[in-house]
This record gives sequence, C-alpha cells and structure tokens, in this order.
Amino acid sequence: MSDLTEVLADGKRRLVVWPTQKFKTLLLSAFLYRPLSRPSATRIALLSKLFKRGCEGYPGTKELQIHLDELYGAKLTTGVLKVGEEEALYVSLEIPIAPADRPNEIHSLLAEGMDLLQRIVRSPVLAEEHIAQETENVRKELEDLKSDKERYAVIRCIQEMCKDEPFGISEIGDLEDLRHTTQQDVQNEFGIIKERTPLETYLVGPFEQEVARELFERAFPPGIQTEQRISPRRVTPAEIRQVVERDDITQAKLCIGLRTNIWPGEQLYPALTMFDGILGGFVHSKLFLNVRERSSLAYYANSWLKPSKGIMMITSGIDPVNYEKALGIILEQLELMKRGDISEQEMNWTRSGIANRLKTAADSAMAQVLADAELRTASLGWTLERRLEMLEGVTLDQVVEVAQAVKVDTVYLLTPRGENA
Amino acid sequence: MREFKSVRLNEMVYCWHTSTGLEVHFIPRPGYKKAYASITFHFGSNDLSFSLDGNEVRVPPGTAHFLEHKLFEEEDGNALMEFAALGANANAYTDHTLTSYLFSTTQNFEKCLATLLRFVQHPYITPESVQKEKGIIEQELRMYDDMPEVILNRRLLECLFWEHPVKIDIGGSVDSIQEIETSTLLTCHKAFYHPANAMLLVIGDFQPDWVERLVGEGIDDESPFAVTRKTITEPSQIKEHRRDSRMSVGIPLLAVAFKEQEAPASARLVLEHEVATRLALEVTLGRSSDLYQELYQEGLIDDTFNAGYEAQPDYGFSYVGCRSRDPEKLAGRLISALTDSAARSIEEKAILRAKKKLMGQLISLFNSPEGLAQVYNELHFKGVSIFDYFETLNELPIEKVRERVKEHFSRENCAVSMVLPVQHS
Repeated sequence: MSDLTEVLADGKRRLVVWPTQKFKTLLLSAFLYRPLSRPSATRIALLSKLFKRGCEGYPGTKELQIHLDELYGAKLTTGVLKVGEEEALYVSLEIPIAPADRPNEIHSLLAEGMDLLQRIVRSPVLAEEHIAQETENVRKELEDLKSDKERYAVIRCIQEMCKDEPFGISEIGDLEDLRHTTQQDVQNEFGIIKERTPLETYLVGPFEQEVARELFERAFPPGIQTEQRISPRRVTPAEIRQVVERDDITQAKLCIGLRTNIWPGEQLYPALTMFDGILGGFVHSKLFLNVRERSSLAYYANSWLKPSKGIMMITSGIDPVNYEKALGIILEQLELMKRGDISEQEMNWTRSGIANRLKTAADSAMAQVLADAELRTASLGWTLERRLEMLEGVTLDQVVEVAQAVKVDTVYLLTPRGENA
Repeated sequence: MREFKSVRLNEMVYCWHTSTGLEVHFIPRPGYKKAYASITFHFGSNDLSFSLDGNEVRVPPGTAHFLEHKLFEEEDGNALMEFAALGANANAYTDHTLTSYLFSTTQNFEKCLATLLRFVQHPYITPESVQKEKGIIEQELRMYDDMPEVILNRRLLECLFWEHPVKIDIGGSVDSIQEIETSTLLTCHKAFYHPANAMLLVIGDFQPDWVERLVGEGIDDESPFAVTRKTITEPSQIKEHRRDSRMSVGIPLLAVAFKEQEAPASARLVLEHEVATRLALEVTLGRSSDLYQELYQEGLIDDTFNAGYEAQPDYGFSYVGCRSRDPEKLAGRLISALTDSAARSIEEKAILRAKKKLMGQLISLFNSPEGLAQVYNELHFKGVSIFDYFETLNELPIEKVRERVKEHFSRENCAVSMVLPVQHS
C-alpha cells in the first residue's frame, strides 16, 4: 500500500494513517486549522514557535531538546501553512527507527511519540519570557523578508493579488499586529485552538493500523470542537494589476499571479495540472524553453499551482532591461495554449512527467501528508492508482478549456533602483 | 561483486568494477517506486590547473560548472529532453571537487541509465552554444550575487584561504566565464571524464545481479587516465580575520570559521577529524547545549543558527552562522566559547547524546535517495564509505573529541564574515 487512509473523521478529529515498512523513521503530524484573519495570524505564527520551547513534562527548551536528542535526534518541526482561506498550525515529529528498535518495539516508540505530540499540541508552556523572545524572533523574520528576493517577490505578489481575501493575509505575521500583541492575546488564541479547532493527525510507519488508532483515541479524546472548515473564495479579475517595487539588487524578479478557479475534486482539476506542467513545470515546458533556452533571458522560469486557493504563480529571475521582452514571451505562451497550440509531444511528456512526480511523492511520507493537507487526497479517495487514471484521461480539449478559463490577475516586478521598467 | 552490510543500519551496499574500470555501487531500497542513478566525476571547481599527458593546463574559474551545463547538449537535441520524454527527472550539480549527473524515475529505468551513460561520454559543444550558455550562466551568477548567504560565505572563504581555489565561487564570475572557450571544455572533458575517475551509483528496488547486467561496461575510454592534479601549497595561517559586506538585508548575517591547520595524512584521518569536529560542534553549540540556550534566550541567535564542517585532504574548515541583530557580540561569544572553555566542559553524557543524534540523521538519510546519494558520493571520493562514517561515529573515543577541540578551535585560525544592511543616506 502506498497511500494514506482516513480511518477516523467526525468533524472534530480526523486520523489518517499509512502503515508501511518503507521508511527508516516514524512520522507523526498534527494540523490545527483556523480561518485566516488578522490579528490572529500573527498570534498563530508566534504559537508555532512557542510549540518548540517546551511542554508539560519538558517545561524547558533544553529539557525538550535533550529528550528529542535521546530519541536518536528526533526532528521536531512546527510551522504554519496556508490552505485556501485557512491556515494550519502544524507540529511534525520524525523519529528515526534506531538499530535497536525491533518490530515489537515499534508500538512503544509510537506510543512515546504520540505522548510527546499530545503534550506539545495540548499543553505547551506559554511562559512570559518565551513569548517575549519569540515575539522578537517573529519581528526579525518579518524585517528580514527581503533577504530572499525570490520568496519576497512571491509573497508580495500574493499580498497584492489577494488583498481583499483572507488568503492575502501573511501566515508569518504582520509587524503592526505584532506590536499590539500581548501575552494574554497569545494565551487566548491558544485557548481557542485547544477548545474549538478541529485536529487532523497523520501517522506513517511500520505499525499496525488498529494499534495506531487506539493510541490516537487515547491521546486525543473527542473534545467540544465547534469550528467547521471553511471553503475558499472564487475571484475573477476584471483587469490586470501591475505592481513595481525597487530594491538594491542586480537581478529583477518577475512574479505573475493567475486565477484558475478550478479546485481539487472538480472534473477539470487533472487537466489543470497538465496545463501547469505544459506551461512551466518541467524542462520541456514552454516557459523553460522559450524564456531560458531560446532567448537566454533567465536562469529560471517556472509555474506552479496553489490548488487549495485556485491560483497559479509564474516566477522568473531576469536582467531588468529584459523585463518587457520576458513578460511578452510569457504572456504569448499563455495565448498559444488558449489557441490550442500544444503538441502531442508536449501532452505526452507532461503526462509522464506528472505521473513520475505522483509516484515519486509516494516515496516520501511528508510529501503524502502535505498533498492531503492541500488536496484532501485521502477524503477524495485519490489513491495513486486513481490519480494516474485521471491523468491518463485528460484530453487536449480539456487543457485548452483550462487555458481559456485561467486569467492573469497581477504582474509584480522587483527591480533594481534607478532602472526603467 | 563485493557486498557490504551494516547490521546496525540494516542496510546493504554492493560494489564492483566494470571491464573498463568504472566503479559501480548499488544500494537496494525495497518498496520504493522511484529509482535513482548518478555518475559522478572527480572534477570540480577546484581543478583549475593540472597536467595532462605531461602538459600543464590552466582553465578559467567556473569551467567545471560550465561543462556540466553544456554536456546535456547533443547533436540532435538535448539529453534533458530525452529524460523528459522518458518521464524522468534529470539534473546535475558541480561542487568544489565533483561533478555529478543524475536522474530519478519511476519508469523506463533501463533507457534512462543508457541515456545517462551515453551523454556524459559524448560532448557536443559548439562556439555558438558556448556563447548562448554564457547568457544563462550569467543570470545564474547574478541570482547568487543577490543572495546574502552566498556573499557571506564567499567573503568567509576569501578570509580563510590565500591560494586554494576553494575560495573562488563554484560558478566562477561573470568575467571569468567569458574566457571559457569550446576547446577549454573539450580538454577538461577528455582529461577528467574517464572511467578511472568516476563512480556510478544506483539506488532502487532492484536485484544486484540485474543492475550489474544492465550497467555492462558503463562508460569507456581507450586511453589511460593521464591527469596529475597540481598540489596547492596553502599556508596554514588565515589570510584575513574579518570581511564585511553591505547588502539589502533586514537583519545582519554572521559567519565564523576555523581553518584546518595541516593536511591530514590519510582518508581515515579526514573522516576522524570530520566526525570529531561535528561532535564537538554539536556538544558545544547544539540546540541542547547551555551555550545555545543562553544565546537564544538573550536574542542573539534564532532558528537560522547552523554549524558544520567541510574538508578534503588538502583543506578544511568548520563554520558557525546565524542571523543576528548584534553580530559583533555574537561573534565574540561564539569565539570565546569555542576557544577558551569548550574542551573542559565536554561531558561524556553529552557526547553520547550527540552521537545518537548524528546517527539518527544518518539513518534518516536512507529515506531519500537524492539526499543519500549526495552524501554517499562525497564520502566515496574522500576514500571512505557511509558505513565507515557510521562506525567511526559509533566508536570514536571521547578523548578524540576533546583533542580536536584543542587543536582545531584557536583564535589565530578564526575568520569572521558579516553581511550588514545597506545604509541609505
């Protein structure tokens, strides 16, 4: 079996498991979903950092870290992920299966992992000094956003494109909101999460499904969670928005945001993945061939999807003097696809490239978990076989239909100071 | 075929030489849909001067990386497209000592392997295509020029080294790549892309005998391997103690490095130094150390804190880096901790814990063929195996870690690099 299975989903708790011998680690992940809103997003960003600082039983950061080191350097990852108009506060624990852990000891290792996960998610230490320190860390991160120009360009493009939608709110927080956040606010936010927020948990490793389920039910008894997951908004752009910003850089970053309004589970979704692949997902794609290989305008020119929000992004790093030319070539590729200018070879190579990606993802526990968080694969019954079948069924007409539906929303350019663009 | 088994890791590696002298390694990954192969040549950005058949050759910085870009090109197309047609993912990378060509695929493994072995042997490089590639590489290098971490490390290496080409960027510079010609690339290909200077690594859910039959002779070259690498005489002192740069960053970046004093006598010793240094760094500065906790609580470091070690037989250095509002103060604290009191405070309990942690990292590596391959290739060309690494980690006595701290971390061989925000008047 190479797929996640949903074994429990009652609106309050969801458990998804993948019993497999394939990996050298046990993976335990918990996702807590909240609607994206200000100023909560900033408080949740803070909580994601506080979750690493200590919990019941391991109240100090050092004590918690020593415990992780003793588990053969178990990796504790926490963070926030945007999913549609929601954000997921997640905690992941990856525990190496050490040489001594024979099969019959795996369940006790899983129990130990579950116990720790439960303590972190349910009983974190929200000490005053930790909150003050992590507030400063979030502030630093926000002030330092510009250091990674590529990421910055994408974040800014999305902020501009979705400024009237929850998705436009940054999951890493906001400086203004941070300034007004008190310790009490952070504690209250955690209270809401603990009481009301639906919990989704993933377990991957060489255990038995029933044992995993029992351990989960014991660690996370049903609570009084009342919140429901919410659906993303559909937006159709009226006209193309253009934004130019300047910085002390040498290479310009171009980022284009597009609306697909096609969602996982809809009939055209597999064709959307083909559209994205043909345009900019591979080295044989139109963007790579025309922006990089034929015109030497860029080192990279890619496209990618954010399926839970129905949007697509195109990014490229270019010489600032070539901005108009590069943008022209990119828009021309979109036009070509609308007119059905797609070869059989492009269809075939992209189909097999995507098939390779889907199968490759089945070799990574975290990739499967993230695919479920983004697409709800386990709930949709999207096994690997099912997804390959759907991919196989995509026709050229469907890809053209997608191309005609996709609309450019925002063109964002980060360019050197003093250049004309 | 030789078989190596690690009982502790519960892993096997199979090794053999083909009839042409190419060394092949195979690591089984039962249950994996993806299969991976890489052919790696012992030729990297450091190889700027060497002798070929007795003749001295000098090449411009960035040559190995440029050749890596160009090799995919073929008379009737591009090998990358051939992999795309097979539904595979192909890529390549160049580092200081190696160039590696790789693919991963869930289908058509046989054809992909044949393509890999063919295109690396047959360069098709024309003056026009070299000229065009300069535009692409120039954009790649300019992209790096805007990355603060790249500038931070570049300045750090310029502080540490006088002569050694490790101080030059792997891709060269926008100027140096202009000097690269078709003949430069062809000479290097003829010199270094030889079965005696390469290793083929296969990872996947296969039987070893099947892989052996499939690889066959691998790659061939009728003439013998005729390269002699030039020994670089690098002073043991560092060149400069400090270099600062100004860039568009929100928060300053700091890196501190310690240069290896003398070249280790053997591959084993390179490994022992590496393991001992990594353990020393983990015990002194790891997340569970007192120092880490102090610095974190004082707000001098955050989650971007990192430490590591890079070494080859002819050079080596350890480094520590982080984003910090007060890089000056942080540098002072890190240097004092490593040079003054570190050796005394190393407890056996902490070493054992650090060993467990590093072992766990190695175990986890087997989850990802790409990650595993990168580490495996690097260790192989240093003359050791990943199992040697695991065993050394397991067996290294605590005294060796203490000795290492004393001999490696000294103020004299310590350099500091900082990236500070641009000041607008």
